[in-house]
Amino acid sequence: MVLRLKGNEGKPVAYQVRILTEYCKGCELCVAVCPKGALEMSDELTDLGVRPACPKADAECTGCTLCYQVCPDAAIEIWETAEA
Amino acid sequence: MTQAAMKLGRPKALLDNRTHYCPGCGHGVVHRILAEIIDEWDIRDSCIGMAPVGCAVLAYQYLDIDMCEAAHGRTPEVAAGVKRARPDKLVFSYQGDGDLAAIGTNEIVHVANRGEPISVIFINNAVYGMTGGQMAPTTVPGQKTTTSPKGRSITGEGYPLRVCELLATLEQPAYIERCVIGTPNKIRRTKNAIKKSFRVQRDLKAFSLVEVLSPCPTYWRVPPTKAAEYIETYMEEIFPPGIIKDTTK
Repeated sequence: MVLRLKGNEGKPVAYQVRILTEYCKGCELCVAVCPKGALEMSDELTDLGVRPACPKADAECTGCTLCYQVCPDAAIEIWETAEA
Repeated sequence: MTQAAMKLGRPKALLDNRTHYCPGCGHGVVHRILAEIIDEWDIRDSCIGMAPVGCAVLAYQYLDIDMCEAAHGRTPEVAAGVKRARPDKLVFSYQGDGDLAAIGTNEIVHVANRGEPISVIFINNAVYGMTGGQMAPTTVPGQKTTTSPKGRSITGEGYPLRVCELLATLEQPAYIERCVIGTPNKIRRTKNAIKKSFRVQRDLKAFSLVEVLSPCPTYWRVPPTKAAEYIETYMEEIFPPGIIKDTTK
């Protein structure tokens, strides 16, 4: 998890991308578009028999949402973690 | 102590069903865009969609709004009828290129000519997707499909039909734009165009059409990650993206 300073608030936040594997069809568009290379294809098969995308273990997600924009199955969620 | 909050996720207007579209299909992106706009404007109860015949025939299983199904190609006429009966609702017709540019050419021309205040979202993927990738009127010259295995020839099958340019010659349409589902930037532009089309309907009570060049990796026989490049190389030359007609200014 990489903490970044967010805008004017100055609080450290971290972003995390989550893949909803029940919707993912393994088209790999998100893997191709991620500027940080934070996604990869999983080795486990879903019930459709496809390898879904999954975040890398040491993923450096910046919350740019490009993967969300290109996903044809709305299978991506971007989560924000902030210190309370 | 840390708190996790979802910044971005599935729009609420999208039902929890997994779509039947192929991996990398542009329909899913356009569905998401529609659902986002419906959420942003909070019009889930005052929006009526028209599902076409084609790949998007089951669109009503994915969008949580009122939807009707029309006979093949008759979607804009049914939308016009719904709009006349319920002028307070936002009515859009969602059509593919087989539905709008082939069997429904007659309907779209007359609905546009009468200036019916509906929004048409025209998904152009240059093939008949649902029936197995046959040649469509919008298939680009040289493109190989199951019914043009040597590539579309100009002498035999003619040039692709440019629906936007065709309708732009009419008096009544207020806003016609061609967009692309490709890079994130182009996807955002598509969302803005669909939003503007809805605004034209709501504020100006005029006809508008947004054509979306949408990837069909399965029948273009390219991997989904190469589909955006395919559109740029082969389709944008024939179907140049941009505003074709805008009388709203």
